[in-house]
Amino acid sequence: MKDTARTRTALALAVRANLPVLLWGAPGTGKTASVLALGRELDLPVEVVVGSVREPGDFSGLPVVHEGGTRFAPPRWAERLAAAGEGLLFLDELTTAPPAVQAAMLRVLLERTVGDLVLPAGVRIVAAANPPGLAADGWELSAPLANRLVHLDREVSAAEIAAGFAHGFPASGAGEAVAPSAEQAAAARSAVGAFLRVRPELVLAVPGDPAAAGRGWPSPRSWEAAALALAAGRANPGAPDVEAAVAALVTGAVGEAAGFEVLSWLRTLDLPSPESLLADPGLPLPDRADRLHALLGALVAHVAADGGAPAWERAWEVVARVSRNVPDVAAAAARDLAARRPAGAVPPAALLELAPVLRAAGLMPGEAA
Amino acid sequence: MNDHAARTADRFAAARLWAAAQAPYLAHALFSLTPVVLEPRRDEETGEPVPDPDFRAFPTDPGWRVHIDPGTALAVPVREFGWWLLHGVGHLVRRHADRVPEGAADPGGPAARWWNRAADAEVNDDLEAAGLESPAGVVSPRALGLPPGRLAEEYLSEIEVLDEAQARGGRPVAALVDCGRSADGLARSYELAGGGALSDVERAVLEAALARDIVARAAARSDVPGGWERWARERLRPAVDWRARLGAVLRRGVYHGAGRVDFTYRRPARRQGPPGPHGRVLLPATAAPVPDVAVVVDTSGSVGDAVLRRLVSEVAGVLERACGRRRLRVICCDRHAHPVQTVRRVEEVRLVGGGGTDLREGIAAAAGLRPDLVLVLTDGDTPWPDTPPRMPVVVGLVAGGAAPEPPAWAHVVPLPGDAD
Repeated sequence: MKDTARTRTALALAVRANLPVLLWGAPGTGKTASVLALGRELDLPVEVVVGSVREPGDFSGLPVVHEGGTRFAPPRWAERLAAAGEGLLFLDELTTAPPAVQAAMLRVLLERTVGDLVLPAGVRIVAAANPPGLAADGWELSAPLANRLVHLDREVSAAEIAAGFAHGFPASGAGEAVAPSAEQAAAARSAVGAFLRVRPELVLAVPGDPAAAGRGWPSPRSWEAAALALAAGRANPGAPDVEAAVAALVTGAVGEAAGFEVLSWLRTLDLPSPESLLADPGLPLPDRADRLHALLGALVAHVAADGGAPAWERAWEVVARVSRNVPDVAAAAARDLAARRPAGAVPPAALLELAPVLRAAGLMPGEAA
Repeated sequence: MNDHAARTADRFAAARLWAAAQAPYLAHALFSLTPVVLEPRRDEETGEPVPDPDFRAFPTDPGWRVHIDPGTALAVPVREFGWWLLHGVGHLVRRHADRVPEGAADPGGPAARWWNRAADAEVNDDLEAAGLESPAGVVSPRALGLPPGRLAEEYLSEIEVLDEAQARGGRPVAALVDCGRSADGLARSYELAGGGALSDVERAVLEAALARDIVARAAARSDVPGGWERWARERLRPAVDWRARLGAVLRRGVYHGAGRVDFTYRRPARRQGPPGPHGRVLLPATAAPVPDVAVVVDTSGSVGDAVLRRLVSEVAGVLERACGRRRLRVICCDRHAHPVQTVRRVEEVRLVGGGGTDLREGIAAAAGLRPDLVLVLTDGDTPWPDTPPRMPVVVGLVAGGAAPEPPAWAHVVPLPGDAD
């Protein structure tokens, strides 16, 4: 039930933020139906173009001799979209199209041109594909094409289909989704930029094997898409299952490993830095034990690198504060901190407060459990 | 009177601290557990909490909450409490709740019982490897004489056999211990109380962070048991089905070699072109060349015959799907290349050879056939040509050989080295 809500919200956010999406899913799971429904909700005309029954000319334009020169006449579907000025272009069966047609579809996705016609900016592109293992004659996407798309897995559950038949399929809520503002986009971009300064090797990681190259992978372009997805999530805090939807978009853009890394890094962003904590040990602390653990770990590492007795002694004030609520987290940090005692530092009183929990855990020096 | 909640919390803190000290690589996971203290079962006379045997294992749920029965928490030693926390983390990160096999979803049925123990076995062998003693009556692969380091799915059939033997009067496998929804995926009534469950995204982020931490510790030669390191590497880099990967490499290589789909005017398109000044425009049809793959098989004896035979027939299947080719040209190669066998059915391939390996000859013979692509099946224990052949080369590298890396110009696909 949840998976489909997530995909639906993710699709709505992406279409609103103008991110090109590729839906992966088995044949017959209603990818086309969901895109048609999305078009109805957004009140946009939808053009469905199935790649596997087209030839390259349907995407690159048919050559026509006209007044002594050759024009590339756009097909009807492109003319209709251009006339409407906005709409949803749904490119179906991207992977079952032969490579020559895929190459022509690539140009539509990248340059938004069909023959001599440029699609207006209001046209959103959604693509769909069957996983190559499922389709009889599938091809993997080429790495450059894969990198320009946000990959979303569409999973369907039997329970949901059954409920849909009985009560109708729920609306996606896309009609209410709003595009991120310029400020939100800029904020998300600077957060991603800060992450990439910490992990520069993730700026560009071209995958080695073709099966992985056919999905999202980190590149400056896909990081841009990931930032836009984060901003879209900020802009729509009330959308159903929005946290999971944003995670699906981010990992769909840059791949799972890099995506989860940036998501977990963003979570630690709202933790106070070790420097500011040492300057003002009274700063508000997070509630959750795992956050506190991460925070104290950073603090101990900072103090160990600094090596000064004053910083070491001040760090104990933070540990003492944590020990009042979550003694075990404090005690784990205290053991690390005590082991890094610089010469001349005075053992703090906080160690005494932690003695009961350390003793109960059998970790007091010279005592057994 | 209500001090049991405070004492339980102290106990939990001590147990978690003990566990984090035993397995520092899991500290982050342990501190991500949210404790939920249950309503205690009380002694009728004194009103003191007494242990409830149903909660012996401090059950966990997939939202990373651990449900603590105060009576049990106050009665068992801190070490045992801590051991169960590590055990629960093992169920959680291995996602046993999502892996429950068909038929084991029936609570109380024998299949559910076997799955619970198989999952326990998968968790406990890593705890044993870390030098932690299991509490009495808990499944232990070592005590049962099962090999360590397997998946729950692999332990399942062995546990089934042992359990049925026990029903006929054999040694008991283990006491049945309920580890909560994180082990068997079945919802419990006590889970309804209390919030603080992690969402799916938070779980995924937590697992990824934990896996990265473990890999970093292992790289720094810190003390991480092999089972945990394997889990972390798989979590970060999930295993790809080798058939899918081989198919992808073959398709890619073949279409590079064959110039992809071509356009031809030999038979014009069925579509009518628009009228031009000299008649209608003819549009090209498309023609896909049928790619030709030559297979070189390393028959030197370092790869088992059963494994080779299975791989050749699987590869033929992949080739047929990827390239649409029925004819197969196979060259067996040990120290010398054997004659080319052209077959229509894979059963007709005769694997000949034995002794030392020199695939240079086999690859040269295959290149002489001028295929679009050469596929080599080997364990890698061979000298390689100095210069690459003119066509793409894909090496299906059978696991198990400790050999030099194939050269950089070959696309390498790791293949399984066992015959099932």
